[in-house]
Amino acid sequence: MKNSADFESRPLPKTFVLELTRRCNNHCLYCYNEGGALQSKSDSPRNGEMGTAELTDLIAKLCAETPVETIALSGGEPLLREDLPEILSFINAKGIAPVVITNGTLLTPEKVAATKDGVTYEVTLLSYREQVHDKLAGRRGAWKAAIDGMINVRQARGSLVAVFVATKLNVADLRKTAELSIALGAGAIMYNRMNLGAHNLRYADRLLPTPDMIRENLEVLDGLAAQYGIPVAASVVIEPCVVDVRKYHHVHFGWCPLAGEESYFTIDPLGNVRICNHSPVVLGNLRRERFSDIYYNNPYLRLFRDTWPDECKECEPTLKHMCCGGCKASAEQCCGTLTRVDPFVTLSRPQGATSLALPAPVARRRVETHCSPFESPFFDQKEGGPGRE
Amino acid sequence: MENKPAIGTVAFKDGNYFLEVEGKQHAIPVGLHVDVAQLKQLVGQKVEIVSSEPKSFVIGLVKAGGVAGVRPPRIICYFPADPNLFGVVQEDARAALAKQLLNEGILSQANYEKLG
Repeated sequence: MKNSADFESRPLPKTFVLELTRRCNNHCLYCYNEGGALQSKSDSPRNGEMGTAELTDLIAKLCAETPVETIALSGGEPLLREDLPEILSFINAKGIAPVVITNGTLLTPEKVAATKDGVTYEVTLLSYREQVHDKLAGRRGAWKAAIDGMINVRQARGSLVAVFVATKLNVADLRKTAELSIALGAGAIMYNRMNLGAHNLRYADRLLPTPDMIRENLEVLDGLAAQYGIPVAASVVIEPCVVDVRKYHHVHFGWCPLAGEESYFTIDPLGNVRICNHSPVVLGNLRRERFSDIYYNNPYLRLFRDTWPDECKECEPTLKHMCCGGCKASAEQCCGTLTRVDPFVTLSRPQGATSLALPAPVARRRVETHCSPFESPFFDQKEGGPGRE
Repeated sequence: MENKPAIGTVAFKDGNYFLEVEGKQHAIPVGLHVDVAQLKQLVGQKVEIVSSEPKSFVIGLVKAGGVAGVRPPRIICYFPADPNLFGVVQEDARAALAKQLLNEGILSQANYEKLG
């Protein structure tokens, strides 16, 4: 761990996530966006999200203040913004590599044609089976539209990363889903075990994959990466005290960059800045403040780096050094404190279900209430066999 | 992250860059986080390979002798896979997989044909 002087003089980050909107046309059960998504139609009120001019001004300000190299456009669903092509053109003109994190359902040939230049699309494919994907995405037709979107990207010779979010409902589908992703032209695969947050914690018992499930998935991915040469990144932290990830040599594992140079600070639709997309803590607002002032002066950043979860203090030094305390943002969201460990760790222990004793989840924003999607008739349907388009 | 330096040689063949280690060639995909101009300067030279634990993935190349070489790509939590990781699936392998999925009923005939 670097010392205090190093932290104070650390270089500015080069990667940012812009959450363009909180609107989303899917209703994913596992959604781990910090604020949750507004489950509304594209013509619904925009809840104060910035317009095109405000947004491009903000991007220009960010570029003037930091050495930006990559901007990922996220949401909600970023393709719900009609001005996405304009925003991407602006980013491209700045010489910055844009990434569009999308559910893929709106990647029509026209939208791909209007947005593909220099863009990497990161599309979530939850299963090779239509019903499983649609169940997790919370919407009928989501799978078919996402498959069509991925094909449209391939036909336009765009860059595609396939994302698999591992839950109890789809872990058994990983191999075929990854193979389908490769066949559809994905140039890389991202594997994210479900990350817990204030909005999905209530489904943890039904969705959070067990350590054994994750081990089996990593075996599959390790084999596919070796067989096809496709890069595989396990991005959401898989804490090594839960699963020993060291034996999966073809899978690249992500770790928390702890508010340092490698971090991807996240800017929400209102201009609020957070450490990452999981974190519920607003550090400041980029419309009113300089990024460097937030980055160097906000005391929360040092707290975030230096606070170790109590459960990690006695951990083996090698693992501790590797995992950096796991996903602190998840702990902050679910427990309201950085002194608790990522609840994925707690719930993965044999006694996890009874020992969690979490305080009420912490959400920065008010959450729209719906009936539990598990209880809706849509989710009572029987799962089918292999998906067909 | 703990680094374990090893030595390899950067090679260039048919428009692609490779890292030769112990007689094996490993592709070095170029992209956002790998400066091609810097990589070009390293062709034929011995480099230290900086790997990160717990994975065997190369995160950077440093010219042997300590001169900075290629800036390491970044794989970080949740952020999209690095664009420099693209382009290593062989087209014939992809096509064979598509055919297999067609035969298994996972890919429809119409979509199979669109994939080419």
